[in-house]
Amino acid sequence: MQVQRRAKLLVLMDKVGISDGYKGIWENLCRKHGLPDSFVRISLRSTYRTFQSNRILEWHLPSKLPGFSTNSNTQDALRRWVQEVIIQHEPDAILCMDPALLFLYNDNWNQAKLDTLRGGVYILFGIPHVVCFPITAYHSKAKPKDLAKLNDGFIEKGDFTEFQQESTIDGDDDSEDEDDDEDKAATFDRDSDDDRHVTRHMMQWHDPIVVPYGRIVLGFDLEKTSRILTRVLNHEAGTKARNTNDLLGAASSENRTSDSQEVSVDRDGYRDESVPEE
Amino acid sequence: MLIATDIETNPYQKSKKTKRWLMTPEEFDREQRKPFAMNLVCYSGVSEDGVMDSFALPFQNGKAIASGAPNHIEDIYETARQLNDLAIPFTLQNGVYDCSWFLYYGLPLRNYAYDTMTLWWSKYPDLPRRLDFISSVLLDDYQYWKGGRKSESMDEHCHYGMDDTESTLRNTVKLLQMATDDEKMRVNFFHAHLRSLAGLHMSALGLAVEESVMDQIKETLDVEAKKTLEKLRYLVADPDFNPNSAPQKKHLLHSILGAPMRNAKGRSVKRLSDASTGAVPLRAIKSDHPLFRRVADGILEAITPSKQISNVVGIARFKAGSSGSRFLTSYDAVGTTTSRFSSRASALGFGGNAQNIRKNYRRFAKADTGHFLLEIDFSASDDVFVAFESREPGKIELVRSGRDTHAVNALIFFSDWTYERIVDGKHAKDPAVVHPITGVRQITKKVVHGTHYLMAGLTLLSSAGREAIVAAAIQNGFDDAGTWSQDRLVRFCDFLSHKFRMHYPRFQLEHDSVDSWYRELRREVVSTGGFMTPFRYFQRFSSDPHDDATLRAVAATAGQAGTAGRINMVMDELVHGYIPRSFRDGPNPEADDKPRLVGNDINGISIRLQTHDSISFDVNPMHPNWLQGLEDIFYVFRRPVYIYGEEVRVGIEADASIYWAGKETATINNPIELLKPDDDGINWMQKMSLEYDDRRIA
Repeated sequence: MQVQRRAKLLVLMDKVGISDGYKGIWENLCRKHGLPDSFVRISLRSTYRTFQSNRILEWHLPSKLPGFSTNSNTQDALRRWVQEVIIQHEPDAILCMDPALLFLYNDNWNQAKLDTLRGGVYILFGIPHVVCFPITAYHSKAKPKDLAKLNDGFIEKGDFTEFQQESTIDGDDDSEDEDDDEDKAATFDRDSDDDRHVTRHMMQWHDPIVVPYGRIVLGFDLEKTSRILTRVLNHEAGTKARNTNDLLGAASSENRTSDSQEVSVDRDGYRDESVPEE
Repeated sequence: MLIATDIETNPYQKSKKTKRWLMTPEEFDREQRKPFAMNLVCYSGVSEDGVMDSFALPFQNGKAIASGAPNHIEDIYETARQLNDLAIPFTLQNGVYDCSWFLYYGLPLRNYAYDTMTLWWSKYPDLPRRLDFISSVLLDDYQYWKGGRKSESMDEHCHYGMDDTESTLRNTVKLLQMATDDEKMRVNFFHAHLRSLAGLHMSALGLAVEESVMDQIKETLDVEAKKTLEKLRYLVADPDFNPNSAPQKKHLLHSILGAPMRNAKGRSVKRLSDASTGAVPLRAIKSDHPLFRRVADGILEAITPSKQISNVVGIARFKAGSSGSRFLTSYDAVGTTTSRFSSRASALGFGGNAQNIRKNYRRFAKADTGHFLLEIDFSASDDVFVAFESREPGKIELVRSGRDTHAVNALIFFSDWTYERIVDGKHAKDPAVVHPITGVRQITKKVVHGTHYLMAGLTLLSSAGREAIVAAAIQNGFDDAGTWSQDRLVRFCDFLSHKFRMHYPRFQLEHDSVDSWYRELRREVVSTGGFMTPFRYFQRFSSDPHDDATLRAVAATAGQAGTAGRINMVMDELVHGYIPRSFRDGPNPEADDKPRLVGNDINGISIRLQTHDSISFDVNPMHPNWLQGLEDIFYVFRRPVYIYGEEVRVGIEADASIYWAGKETATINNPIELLKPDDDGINWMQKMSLEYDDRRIA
């Protein structure tokens, strides 16, 4: 296999993100599972610098996990944001860890959860997207730091609920993601200040994703991403990609995505250059 | 060529939306209908040139049972029968389920060669085994498709079924590629697949049910349930208290009584919403205060009969025409990480878990008419495997000595006792020795078990119970132990563990300077990612090998998977005639021995149940070879295994009875004892009024 250049991978993080504390773990995982620096340049981006979590995530009982916002305006804004980030970074593939963006891949709120769609490969905007657990899944127990990041500094649900009941305040999300300064330069329509006044009781307690087998599954998904990037580069370099009839091949032309209008896939499963990018 | 097949069934179940039974259990009993119906069979095949095609054969016009069969059902049925009869290898996901249905419909599958669930488990025993999860890892174009199963459209249902078979087929190819380079995976799969087939055989036969005994049990349990509930309601002064309601229990225990809150694992929590009222936290609460104990005991007593009613009386029985009803169960060969069978209701929806029925209530199941049951189990098997795996000389010597291991170990913790006193007390059923909570022998069993598997003091305290540890402390001269705080009891538990570790140095906690078994286990899991049992089952651990929790899991595997491997070895030979060529530590000297098999045609014996470390057989004493068959079974159970060059034989206990765990049980060391006359000149078989073929005696 001939690889012509370094691949570009865009990671769309969840609210915890890949913070300084997780950087070492993340780099080790990437190195170990086929995404070393020499092969791929990774850009980390987060919607949570732009949007508030209580606007882009929804909690519906009995589901314990948050899902995407069902508001079409929010979805449009998020879709635009993703397109702009793609234009900015021109990635070869996207690794999506953000539950708020799962509507892009499956419009059924009950199904579009990280634990259901994880491992899924979708071709959107001409680019393969791999859905992956967030980095918090590396641990088998929730870390207080992650709980605090997801819940406005609270690590105890009782304290969080009590605080919600006591106060109704401006809900501007001022949590900073130190890892992602580039976000500030992104161009998109920010929500108006008026829209950002929310009551604290609209917030929901948010547990980080932790699963006993998260460590190994993160490895599987990074390996899959690495294989997909290799295929994209080989395809670009003119290497004959796998036939869709090949059982072991990549995404087939019969991709079943919910966003079919925006999907354009060639016979080999990847980027159709004839589709103009927005 | 490879074909994947999958069936879809329409369940008889409670509708999630209407909360009603789609067909009531009474209707079901009256009409003797199966609780599910097969409505679709799908096939996907791949030819040598890589072309994949899929077909769906609908057995009904729609998803609902009432939709009726298609006009060409006879042709559809015949097509499925011919396809299933092909010699081409078939692959399935959880094929035991599908094969049960194929058998039920008279469409047996000739070549059930692979199973994606088993193949996946063979590589990753501690990961989920669902088809969508496996596909999400193995297939580079995976997209979640399982939502389709909820569609009411038959067309979509057919597509969904074919998506399943295509994924199964592609996963199989991937998994077989993985297995090509992984001998451990191949060995695991080979044994697991054999077990699956043995489990299918047992699931299909089941045991006869004595309805009159079932009625008696129901009556007893109903009375007990009523009595215990009345007692509890009186105790808590609430005539409407429901012990099965978690919110009511939480309110009583934590809001009214102020008992400390714990989660399901018994660890302290701060919020009521995180508190659990399961068995573990209730046990812990019992040790917090005598008043809590009374209430917790009351709750547990009130719950138990209703649980047994649901486990035993509430199970759906399979009506087998004129031969009465049968108890069925389905064994899952890959349902645990230790290679033990797990058990649940059969694929057809009848029966239930055969492994959680209390001994007192097992007698509802019985041998077929004119037959009897033989149940053989290994005694103290985990202990034997831990002894030889750990290579602790003192422990090996003790196991080999034939002495009562628990009585000997009790002397480590209770210096005022002598071995003879404990053994005599055991025979005389002296409560100081055999009481389930405060008897020294019982306490010893719990402490040794916890120490083997690296339980910390707190875990040991909550698993043994406060009363047991207080009793142990009193036996050690601490008369005020009843007033001790939890911290002090935890320290005492650590002290007991420490005494055991000093007595058997190989059980010392891992440290670079100590020649400890656990240090070796840690090295093995770090270097190989898992642990291999003497029977060559390799359990991979997905968790961090440096974690203490992982080491605890490895230690537990060494004991439990050893026992499981031994019982599986017995099944492999008796059902399939397979004797392993080698063990982990060397060749099997008996590999070339003639395999001993059981079967209705061979010796009138069939294997029916496997519960932990025991197997139950149904024996037809009118078969001319029945006695030889029993001798073969005893021989296979007594075969040696080799661990680190040492010959290991695990003791067995055998009971013959008409009813499962019934009162008329004969405990035997040799099958011939069944025909040995007692003082009155009659043997057990005659007492049971069983006709038998006694040509061996002649």
